[in-house]
Amino acid sequence: MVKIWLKRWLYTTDHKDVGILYFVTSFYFAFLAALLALFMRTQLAIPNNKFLAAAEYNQAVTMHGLLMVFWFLSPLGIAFANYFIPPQIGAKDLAFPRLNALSYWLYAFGGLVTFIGFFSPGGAANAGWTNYSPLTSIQFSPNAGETLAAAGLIIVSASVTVGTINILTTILFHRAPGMTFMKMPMFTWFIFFTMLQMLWAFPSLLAGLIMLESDRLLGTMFFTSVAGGSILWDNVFWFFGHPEVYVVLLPAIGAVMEIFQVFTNRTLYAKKIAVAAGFAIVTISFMIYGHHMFLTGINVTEQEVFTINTEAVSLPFGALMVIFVATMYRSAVKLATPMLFALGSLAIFVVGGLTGVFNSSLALDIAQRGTFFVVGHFHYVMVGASLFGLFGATYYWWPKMTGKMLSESLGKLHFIVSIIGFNLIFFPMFFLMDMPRRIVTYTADTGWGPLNLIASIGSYIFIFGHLIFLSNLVRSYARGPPAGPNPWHGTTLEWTSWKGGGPSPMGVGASSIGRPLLSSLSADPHNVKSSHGSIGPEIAHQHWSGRPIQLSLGLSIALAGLGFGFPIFVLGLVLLTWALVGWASDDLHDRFMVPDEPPGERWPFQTTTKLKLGMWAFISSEFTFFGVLLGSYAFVRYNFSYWPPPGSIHNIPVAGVNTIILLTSGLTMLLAVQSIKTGAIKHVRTLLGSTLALGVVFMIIKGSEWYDLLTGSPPFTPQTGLPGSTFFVITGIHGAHVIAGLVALVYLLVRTRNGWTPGKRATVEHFGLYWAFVDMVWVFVFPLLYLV
Amino acid sequence: MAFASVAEPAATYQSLFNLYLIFAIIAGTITIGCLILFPILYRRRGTDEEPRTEKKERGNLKVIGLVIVLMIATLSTTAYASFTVKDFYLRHPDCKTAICVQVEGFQWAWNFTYPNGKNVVGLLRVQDTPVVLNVTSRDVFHSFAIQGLRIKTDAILGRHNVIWFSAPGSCSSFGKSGFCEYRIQCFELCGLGHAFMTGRLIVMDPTSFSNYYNSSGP
Amino acid sequence: MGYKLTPLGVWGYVVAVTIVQMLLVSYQSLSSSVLNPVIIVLAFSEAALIVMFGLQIWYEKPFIILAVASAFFTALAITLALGSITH
Repeated sequence: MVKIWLKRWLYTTDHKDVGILYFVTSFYFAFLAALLALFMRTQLAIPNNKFLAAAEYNQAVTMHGLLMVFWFLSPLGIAFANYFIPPQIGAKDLAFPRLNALSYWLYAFGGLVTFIGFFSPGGAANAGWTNYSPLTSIQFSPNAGETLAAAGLIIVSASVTVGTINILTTILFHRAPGMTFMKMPMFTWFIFFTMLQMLWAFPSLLAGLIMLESDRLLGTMFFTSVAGGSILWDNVFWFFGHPEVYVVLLPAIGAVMEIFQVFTNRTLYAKKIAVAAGFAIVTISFMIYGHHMFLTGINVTEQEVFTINTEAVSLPFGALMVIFVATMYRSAVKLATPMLFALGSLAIFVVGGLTGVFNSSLALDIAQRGTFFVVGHFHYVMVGASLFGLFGATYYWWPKMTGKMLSESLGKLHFIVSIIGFNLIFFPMFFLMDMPRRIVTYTADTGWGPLNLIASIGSYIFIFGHLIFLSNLVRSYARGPPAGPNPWHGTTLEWTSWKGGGPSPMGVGASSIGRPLLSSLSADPHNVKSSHGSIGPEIAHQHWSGRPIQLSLGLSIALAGLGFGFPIFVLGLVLLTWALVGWASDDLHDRFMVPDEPPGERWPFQTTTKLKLGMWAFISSEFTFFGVLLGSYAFVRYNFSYWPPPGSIHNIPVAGVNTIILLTSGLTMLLAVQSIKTGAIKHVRTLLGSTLALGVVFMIIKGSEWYDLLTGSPPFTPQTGLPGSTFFVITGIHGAHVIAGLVALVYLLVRTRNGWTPGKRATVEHFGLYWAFVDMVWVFVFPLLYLV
Repeated sequence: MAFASVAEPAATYQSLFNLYLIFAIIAGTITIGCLILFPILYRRRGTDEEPRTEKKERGNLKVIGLVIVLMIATLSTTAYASFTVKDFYLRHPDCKTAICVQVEGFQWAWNFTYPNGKNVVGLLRVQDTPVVLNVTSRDVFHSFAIQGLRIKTDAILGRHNVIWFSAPGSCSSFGKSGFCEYRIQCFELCGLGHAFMTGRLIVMDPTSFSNYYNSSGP
Repeated sequence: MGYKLTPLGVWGYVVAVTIVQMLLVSYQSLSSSVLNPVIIVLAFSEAALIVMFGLQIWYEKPFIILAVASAFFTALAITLALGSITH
């Protein structure tokens, strides 16, 4: 029985199960990060304290930030998204169930890779969650902890990329008939916005992390050169970093909108404006990151633009606040726990948002930058608005996830203790504007003692509130009163789609863990045979796959090997290869079966396929990734007064011929795709084979080009300066993409050796998109690296 | 140049901060007030438990439009005021009327070099005339600030950021030296010694400063 | 046979442009401040064709939303970063 339970949780691809996994894991990481915060507050409670040494404190403050932002707040929002988006839009599951499981396991193992830094020599990452350069260079942070943290973040970036493609495709493609965009619930809308931000922000982080690891491990000089290295990291990180803080916030706002409608018994005021505000937030959030760089010495005009843009982002939020208040006007408010947390979240958000306006000023930032004023601001928005909103979501959706009710009195107690504790910690910080951030201690003559003591006392109270919360969850799960299918009288589909008697087919708690095969695939009452929807064993079994966890484990071990040594790296690669081959083999033998979603609302993508949409979303994020990489190249070139003239290092004719070879492989691929579309499939396999052959020739020529450069006299290597760094990293990453494409081509040839089905034809078309993209990138890389 | 009666450019800072504070208190009080008041005023009475039947989109846009317009007006004012203050911060005096000091941050202290080549670590002695600081770093990303005078700039390897100040004639904090003192501190995490990367600004009278400047000691 | 024309046409253009780019650089007839923008603009024209036909936007026009959005945010990142260079 334990074996079945284990197999279920390790191999599940069902969205509700994956939602539960995200939920539990995110609270686990929150617990770790909160402990770190408690240690920090204990250390700062009195002047000259000796509870933590500087080395320990720096690790605590760094890991607290990383774990809270990447491994708690955002995944908790994703947990709810996983669980509730399909029912809210009338779908059976997410678009790509195995990718869903994959994104969870990547996230979980990535967290372990980062956290393991604590047990490595030199300790965990300690340069702040913002990883500023040159402090993060191998020279100033020789410890493996920083390598591991960056590796963990790379894994999370992969997780997020997979997850955003999945959820975006689901929302665009799996809506039930009649579920037009404007009928979508607000939570789904705000997850949609979150996914859009993640799609275009995380590639920037990924590019930065790859360059950082390359600096640390290969001796390149992206972030350590005097020619703008620090500022390059600043730009690349914050282009990601600013949208990221809204990624953390928007799911909570979406949940608060749901809670508001239910507990005021009204629909949201001006829903269309709320949606428009969401789009505005997504767009503007990418234009304001420079407010983190006001004092770096960038030119004043750019600073003024960032001030104006940052102020501008408060406009959609102002509209949202009016919408919330107006929804309550002449309504019927019921102050149940979810509503209390929703109101608390918004009130705290107001304080956070207003102090954000202070920070938007290029002049006021002069005193505020790097001080506890900023710490107060971002904790108000992140902890206050986001966390309280997500607490509210937990109280709201718990009955649906478990079939049990949480205790109202414990919930209200949790709220009161939390809001008091929270404000005690962070409000005093606005009066600590002279106190720098991230300092391990301070002297008594600064006068910062009393306010810090209040904050630290507040932190103990706040933690006590979390303990109340935890006990509420445990009590309810173990022996809480059973919940009906719609205890709050919600009107969105996750509540109303089950009208029969007894507990709804959704929810883990509707049957005890250990009974096999629990993932019900639909809320159709006619399919329910027991208290928990049962589809036959075979189908649920086919919904399991071990490949996501294997692949995640392999990738994580391989990247952990960056910090722990080459043997570990190889071990991880072996596991990763085995998982990939296994996944391909599963597909070749059609071992994983998911019932098809009937066609519903798909505007504006009515005439395309789900996989094509997913591939396009992937390409969209890759576009930003390469854009940031090439943009970094442009950045360092502009900052570097000398750059070798074209032709002085590289062999242009050889590279030109190689370019034509790659472009010709693009031709054969495009011909293959066109043949498929017109039905002339006789020569498609030959064309695929030609593409493969040309691609291999391209890589061989590239390899020999690299060999000549590395062994030339003088040798041209990644370490010989920025021209070397940029050349090898950019062509290397492009080359990796080519190799991945060649592997996929081999798979395609194997898969199509026994004839064609519509699915196989479609796969060729999807691959054609990827290959065209790889060509397109080279069309930029070739002139930028060789010709200008 | 005669010495300033208030610290510059810090004097402009406080009035800007107060402007933002007034707007923030007004906006915050109204919004949070509604968030607290409305649930009480419009609380559920009796049996308003029936599911909502209204399907029509609620709300005319006038209220939102009004709030947006008010916000734009407020934010334009604050932006303009900020630009003005920043401009003042940027117009530093030249090295004929001010003392121009090179500041180099390193792990974990501040190195000051005067025009005559005199080099001191951790202590910046000036007189009450304008001082221009040219700030850079020898290693990692630091941030140089004299919070009491409301000036700060980042110290980055390969970059030189210029800031200026003029200490006031009257003093609020006398230090060990017997003169007016201000704390100098680093505001960007720079390693193990970040918390201890401090210094002292000492504002002397012209005679004492002149003696100091021409001497060889720290 | 008609379906082969478009791919051949695209291929012909990008190969020709590649050769032109190489010739422009090797003859160095113009200064690099003129040459470089020309080469980059030519590269953009190649990319546009590949995006249009290889990435199937010509055939499935709704994807242009994703193409434009990606281009917008990427261009934003590059512009803001390069703009931050001048002191």
